[in-house]
Amino acid sequence: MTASEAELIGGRSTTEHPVPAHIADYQVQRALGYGNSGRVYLARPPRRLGLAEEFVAVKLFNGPCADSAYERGVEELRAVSALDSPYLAKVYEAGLAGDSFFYAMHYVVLGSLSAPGRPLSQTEVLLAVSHAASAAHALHEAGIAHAAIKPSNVLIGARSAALSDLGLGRSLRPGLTMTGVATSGTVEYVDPSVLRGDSPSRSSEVWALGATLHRAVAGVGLYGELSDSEPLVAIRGVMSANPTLARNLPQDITAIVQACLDSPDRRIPTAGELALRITDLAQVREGIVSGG
Amino acid sequence: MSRAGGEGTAPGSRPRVAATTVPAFDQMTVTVRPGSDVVARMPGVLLVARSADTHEGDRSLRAVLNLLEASREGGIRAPGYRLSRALRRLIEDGAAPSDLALVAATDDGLTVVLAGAGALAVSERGWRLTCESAMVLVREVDWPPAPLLLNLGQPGCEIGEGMPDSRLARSFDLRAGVVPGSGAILASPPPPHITTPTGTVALDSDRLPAPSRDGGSLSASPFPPRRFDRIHGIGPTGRRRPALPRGVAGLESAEAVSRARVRGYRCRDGHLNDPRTLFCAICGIRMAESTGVFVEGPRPPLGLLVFDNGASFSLDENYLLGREPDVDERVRAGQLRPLVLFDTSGVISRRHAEIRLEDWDVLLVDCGSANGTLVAEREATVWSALVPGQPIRMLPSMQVRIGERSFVFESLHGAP
Repeated sequence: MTASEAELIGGRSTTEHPVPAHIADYQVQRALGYGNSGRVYLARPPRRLGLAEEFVAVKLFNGPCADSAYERGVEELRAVSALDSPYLAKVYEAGLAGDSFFYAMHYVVLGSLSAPGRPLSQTEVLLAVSHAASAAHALHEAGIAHAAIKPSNVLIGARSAALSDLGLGRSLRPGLTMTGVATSGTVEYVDPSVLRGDSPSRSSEVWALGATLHRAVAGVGLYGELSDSEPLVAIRGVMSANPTLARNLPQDITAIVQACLDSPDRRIPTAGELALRITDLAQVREGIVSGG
Repeated sequence: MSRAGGEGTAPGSRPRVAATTVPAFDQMTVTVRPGSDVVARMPGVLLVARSADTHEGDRSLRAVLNLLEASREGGIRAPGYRLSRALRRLIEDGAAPSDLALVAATDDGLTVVLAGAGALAVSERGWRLTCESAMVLVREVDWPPAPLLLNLGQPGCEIGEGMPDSRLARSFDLRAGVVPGSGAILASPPPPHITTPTGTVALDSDRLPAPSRDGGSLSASPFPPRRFDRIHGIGPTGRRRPALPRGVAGLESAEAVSRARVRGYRCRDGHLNDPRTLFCAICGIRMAESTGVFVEGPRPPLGLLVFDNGASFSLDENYLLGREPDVDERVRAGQLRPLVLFDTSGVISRRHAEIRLEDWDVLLVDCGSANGTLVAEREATVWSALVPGQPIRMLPSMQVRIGERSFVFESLHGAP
């Protein structure tokens, strides 16, 4: 397993967990990643799906899932799928394996923004975050919040990036403010207002996109490195400190991240506008638009 | 979620048992369980169907047997797909027996058709497939590694049960034909080997998934999921939702309207606060700079429950914590939000503890759980058990332990 795969959903080693031979009638090949809300496996899809692809990524959520929660999850995934955005990871099927919710999605070989399969140029990073922002905007226009935007959920495709792993936590478990482990893997991308109990909004998602851009370009988080082993310490760290931008962040990117973290009334108002600003910046850098 | 025999299993090296099942199906033994319904075996197919003593029932049974007969005459060795399509049409037209179960060989596995009370079980593995509320269930499955039972919904029946004598039973084998019976067992002939083109592959149980011991929360079987729904290309059934509003108004902003109302002071920026606090819980500014007017408004979230594994829950509603909080009527009625705690110790009760928000206070009550709820004040290491049914007020940073799980109350309001 490569590091990029390990981080597909949150970046903890999978070695401590046995890998099942099957999830329902999916033939599991190996684990791709492990997070708190669930695990992701590389699997061969069953023939009944009629897929041309040899492999899919199967996300299996921890713990039992009631039928009513399952139905909410399916509805949510279908609502996302109906948007048909090129920047949203394609989900083929959802189901209950035993009592556990799972879904099968398109498998991307090149890894995620948190650990890409090959080094990415700054322009490529900018475009990936811009695609993720476009995807988030499409969700928002349809009345859906992603609620789990972070680098490991921005998958790097051959031509474009795709936002994956819609934060189903809230559909499956109402009241949940954060689905993942409260470590650097998750908590640094959560708008503090959401930790205080606000529900995810356009504004909180712009915040998460800004934090994602910061981490991907600067290589460090907005709160430095948070405790991996003590969730409570990480949450307290985030709630008591102000985010600090890394000094090595280029000035033009700093301006954009700043505008994502600003107080809500001054923050970039929509993910769509953020996508445009990032694309413009990438184009200026590549000299595609002269003079600007 | 742990599963015996999972580690070290290399799915890629698993013998391709499935690919060998076309010749194997007809080499399997079929043992018929006594009864008054109908069991039929033809090349590549095994059927159990309800026999009804009516003209209608007789005709529908005849229709299904005709399908099997036609496929036999056609000399098809793997009639699975063809049969399941034809049978499904028959069932949907109401022209098939009310209850039936069929397995038939496909090119690389089995197809299963179940209607009414028809059921398929692999008792040795704890697998069971029924069509539940659906009219008909058609599934493609891998070849099962253990004897497979078809019957018409007698749950819990063991494979050997009801057989005259287990030693004798092993020599029974219906090769082809239609006989009375209540069920049928398809099993590999002893010794349990399946002949493959390259030799003999033992059905090595070490290489095959074992049943999960925790009641099947992680299905280790190659069977299709209990429920599954296609996502891509299927729109949502609900009404199109309005776009998210601009700014900080979020998904559940409508919920805030229905939130309980409390009285308190607003800070300079308008956040409603517990009158007992000195600093605004949201922006941290001193409440001395507040407007000083006692007002009523929707209650803001009172804090977070931060679990040992990092999951955190907002205290904006009352919660019922437990292994299966959904069994509670108040949860079903939407008055309490369920918070499922899963652990492997088995000491968490279905309804274990309740968290109640009263004005600005967070109360914790043990619901008479079997093993109790333990609390400890911040940083303290002395745990005390709650008296069932007696609420306590949670203090900031209070630790709570339920079975193997623990969480901390992170207050936003109240004393720092």
